[in-house]
Amino acid sequence: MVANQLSKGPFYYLYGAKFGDISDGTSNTFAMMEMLQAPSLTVIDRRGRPWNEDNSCYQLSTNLPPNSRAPDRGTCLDQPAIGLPCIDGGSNSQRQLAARSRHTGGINVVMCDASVQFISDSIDILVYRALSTQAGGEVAQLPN
Amino acid sequence: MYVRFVVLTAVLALIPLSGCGKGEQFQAVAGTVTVDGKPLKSGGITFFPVGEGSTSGGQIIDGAFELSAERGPSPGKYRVEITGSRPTGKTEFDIDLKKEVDIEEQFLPPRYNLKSELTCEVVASGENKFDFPLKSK
Repeated sequence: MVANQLSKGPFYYLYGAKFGDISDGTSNTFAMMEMLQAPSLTVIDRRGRPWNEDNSCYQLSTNLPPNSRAPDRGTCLDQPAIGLPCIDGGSNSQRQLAARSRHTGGINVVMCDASVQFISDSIDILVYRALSTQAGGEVAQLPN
Repeated sequence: MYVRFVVLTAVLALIPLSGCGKGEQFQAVAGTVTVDGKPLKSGGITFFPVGEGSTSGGQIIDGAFELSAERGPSPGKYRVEITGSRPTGKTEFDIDLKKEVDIEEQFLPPRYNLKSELTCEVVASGENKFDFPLKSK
């Protein structure tokens, strides 16, 4: 699940895009993005988990840039020291989980044309979000 | 000779502050958010840097937000996004909380979030207090 409901991505909730639906172009649309699986020993931390159709399965968004210092929001444990800041709980309309990695300066992604790309933490947030939608009509392309 | 020593010391003192954003000097920020003059009960605020720097953010509770220096932005200009939540009147079963919870919706216009026109400038010395009087329409 990426971006908002008006600009869904290829793996949006209860949906699966056909190639023809990806009108922004398969080379300009994310298919997969890295996440960190959070250690979850004493409390539930849903980041980086396999998912199903349950209502708590909010999974990944481009609301925040890669490896953001701004916190994820959802069912998670605040661990900023290992790059996993979080505000636990809160409204279901505020839930957001950022793409995160252990790479320096960015994350790896797979585009819908099956190419692997490296996305910098400092990517323009609006370009990053546009790359997560399949038919947003934006002219966003991967930065060089 | 004494003067030269002082200058060298000053240069060395700057070295840990440079490079790759590691030297960002994060600041505590706080403020208020109202919608049509009333405190925004529940929401989120995010500071996106205009240019270099990292993104920071937190939650809005009863019309106020507060980020510690550890969680806050470094000095510079920011594009600010604010979201607000309100109940829809419907509920759903939350499998983590194991109870029925209100389904909420984000109700603030895009000009405050996805297409935000809100900005602020964080300073290195002085108070970083920002008030955002918003309108629902």
